[in-house]
Amino acid sequence: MFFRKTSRAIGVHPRQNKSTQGMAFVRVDGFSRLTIPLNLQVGPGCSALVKKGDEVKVGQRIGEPLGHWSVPAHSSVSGTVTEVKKDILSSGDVADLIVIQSDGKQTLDESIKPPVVNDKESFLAAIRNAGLVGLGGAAFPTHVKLDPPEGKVIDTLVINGAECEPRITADDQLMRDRADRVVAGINLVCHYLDIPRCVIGIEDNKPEAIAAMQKAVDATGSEHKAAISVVTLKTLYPTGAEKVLIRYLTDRIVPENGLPADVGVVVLNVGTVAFIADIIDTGMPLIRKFVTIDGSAMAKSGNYDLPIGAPIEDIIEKVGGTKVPVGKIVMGGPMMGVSIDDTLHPVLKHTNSLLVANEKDATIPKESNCIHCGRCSKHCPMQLMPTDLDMAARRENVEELREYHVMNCIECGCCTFVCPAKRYLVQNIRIGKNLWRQAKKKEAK
Amino acid sequence: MNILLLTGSVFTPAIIGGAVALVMGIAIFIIFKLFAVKTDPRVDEINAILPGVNCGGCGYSGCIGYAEALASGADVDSTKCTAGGEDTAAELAAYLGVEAGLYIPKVAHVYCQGTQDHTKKRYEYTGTLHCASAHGLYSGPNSCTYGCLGFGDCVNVCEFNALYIENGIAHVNHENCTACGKCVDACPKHLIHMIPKHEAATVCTCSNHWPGAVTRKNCSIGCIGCTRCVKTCPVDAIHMDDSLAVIDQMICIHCGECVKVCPTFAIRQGLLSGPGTTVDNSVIQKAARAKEKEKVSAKVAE
Repeated sequence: MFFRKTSRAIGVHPRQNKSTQGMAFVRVDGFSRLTIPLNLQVGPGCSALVKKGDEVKVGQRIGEPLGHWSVPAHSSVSGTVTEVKKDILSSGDVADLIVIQSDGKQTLDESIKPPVVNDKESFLAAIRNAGLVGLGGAAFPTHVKLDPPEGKVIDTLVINGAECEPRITADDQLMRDRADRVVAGINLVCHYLDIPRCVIGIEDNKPEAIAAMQKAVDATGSEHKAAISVVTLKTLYPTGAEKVLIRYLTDRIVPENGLPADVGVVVLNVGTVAFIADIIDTGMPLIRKFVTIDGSAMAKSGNYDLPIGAPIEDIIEKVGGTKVPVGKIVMGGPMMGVSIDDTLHPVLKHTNSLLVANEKDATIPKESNCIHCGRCSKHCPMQLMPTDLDMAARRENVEELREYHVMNCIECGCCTFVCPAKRYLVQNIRIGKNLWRQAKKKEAK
Repeated sequence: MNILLLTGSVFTPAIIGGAVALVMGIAIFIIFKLFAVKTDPRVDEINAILPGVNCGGCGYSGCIGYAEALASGADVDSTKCTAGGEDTAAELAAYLGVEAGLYIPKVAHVYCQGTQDHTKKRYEYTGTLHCASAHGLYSGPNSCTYGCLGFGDCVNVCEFNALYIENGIAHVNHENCTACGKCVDACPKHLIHMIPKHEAATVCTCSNHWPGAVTRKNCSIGCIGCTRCVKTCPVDAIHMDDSLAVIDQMICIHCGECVKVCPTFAIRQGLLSGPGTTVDNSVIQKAARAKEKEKVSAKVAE
């Protein structure tokens, strides 16, 4: 085989806890009040197209993008707009929020029809009009990712089916249910972007998903535009991180502050490619999301198909409620997820999991002094020295942070996970990255 | 003289050494004169007039930098030394023989009143206790993301002991402040600005650009953008910048009309100095308003 896995697999082995593995997606509907933020993704966001009192239908465009990096926002229910307000989000930014009161009829917007696609431009426009962003977790706009800057040739499409975070099984289930859609999406992307090779990386703790993907690839063998191969990866966190996955699957190293396009690679999540196939077939914009709901405080866990904008409070109630008092709600996986400060926070386009932890699980361990054991450096997948970066960030020494390549950190949290002294390593490194960005901004002035 | 005669004599090394030293000395003297860097004698004299704290408030690298600029004529403004103040400006003008410009004493002002009583915490911050670090993590733990974080990055850079943290926000000790501007650069939220030093300086002490409803939710003393002050101002010194009232300090006549109408007490009047002397402006404003009401009711009664 052309691709070989690098022998140097570095990372950690957190307890998998994939108790929801194999649970089919349950469609949850009937939310009375949905909140749709207009800047769901990287970039300047959208301006509202509707005002208070307007009637909206499922899939109707309610936000017009403000820049090349933005994608439009769509309504995920039919009903009446009750409010267009500004409010503060968990990220500290103020965003326009559109609050929609559902009428329960779910009438589809008439304008939804399969887009006419005949070349690269129309293909990217169709993706953008559907409001698609990276569904893996970072919400990077897909139409920007698929349109690399001039002079950069993409020769490999990497499909991320690793799902290395513990507890989450949404991608696993998606690959089992919709393997043919994933392959159809890959063919579309490879056809319009002229990419000769595609590698699908899946961890070996998902044998059913691997089998399903292999079957789907073999079944349509003669129609492929590109050479597709399914690669089994060793179960190890963080194999699914973009830069790490590229190194394991293609042996290429993305430069510091660089993008995968710099080494001729585009990485897409399995959910994203499956959705691309759906857009081209039906024209339906991104208004629903597959989400794993799990955690020690939940009475029942499982995989759900949720409308974007549904408030987390209502979702938890509808899927069985909590059995013990909630200590913390984390959006995303247990290793890299972000805790939310408000239970009325809506489900976003890049939410792949909601973890509801009880009070015991939510306690943050107390930090003690570094014993210089070197475990963090040993387990760092980017081969950095977290303890040095941590100390530099605490001292706010930007020169030292630069010297130790702070921007190579992917914030996977392996260092904090293995630290016997429970040092807040990744937390401080994340702050260090921000200090680096602030210093760069000041220099540019 | 036969050189051999001197061999073994104790004077030989002394004579050779002396001769070398003489030659080298002459060489050094010639080179020193030839390659001498011409310095303006006035630089040292101007430097002696300056306070010598090297704070950088003038915009030059230090006192010597400003002295060089003045001596060479690159800079003719003698009022730039903020630490020296009016006296230094006058002395410099007299020395340089230029007309003493108008010296406006300035003072640092923190554009935030959101103490812990007025704001909430969005999350528990356990990182390094520096403003720059906390600002990097979702704009800091405060409910108002524009407001002072209170970890004291400005206090750390101040060389004149003019800043202090009280009740979660930074305050300026106006007696010590020399307006050097180091804190202005240090603040990651850009809250500190230099304003003309006036006993009754009237400032909308808020930096919050959010619409009123969002502000009200997150801070009880922030500017909600009601524009009542704009309408009241007799000299049109106030303008709105994205639902934040901004008072132009060069136009303001310190009449205090805007202070009376501000519904959230975001506009404050008067400087304060030293820890423990924090004036609770809202109490004063409330008292003033009560008095005004009494006057009105008394008039009505008449």
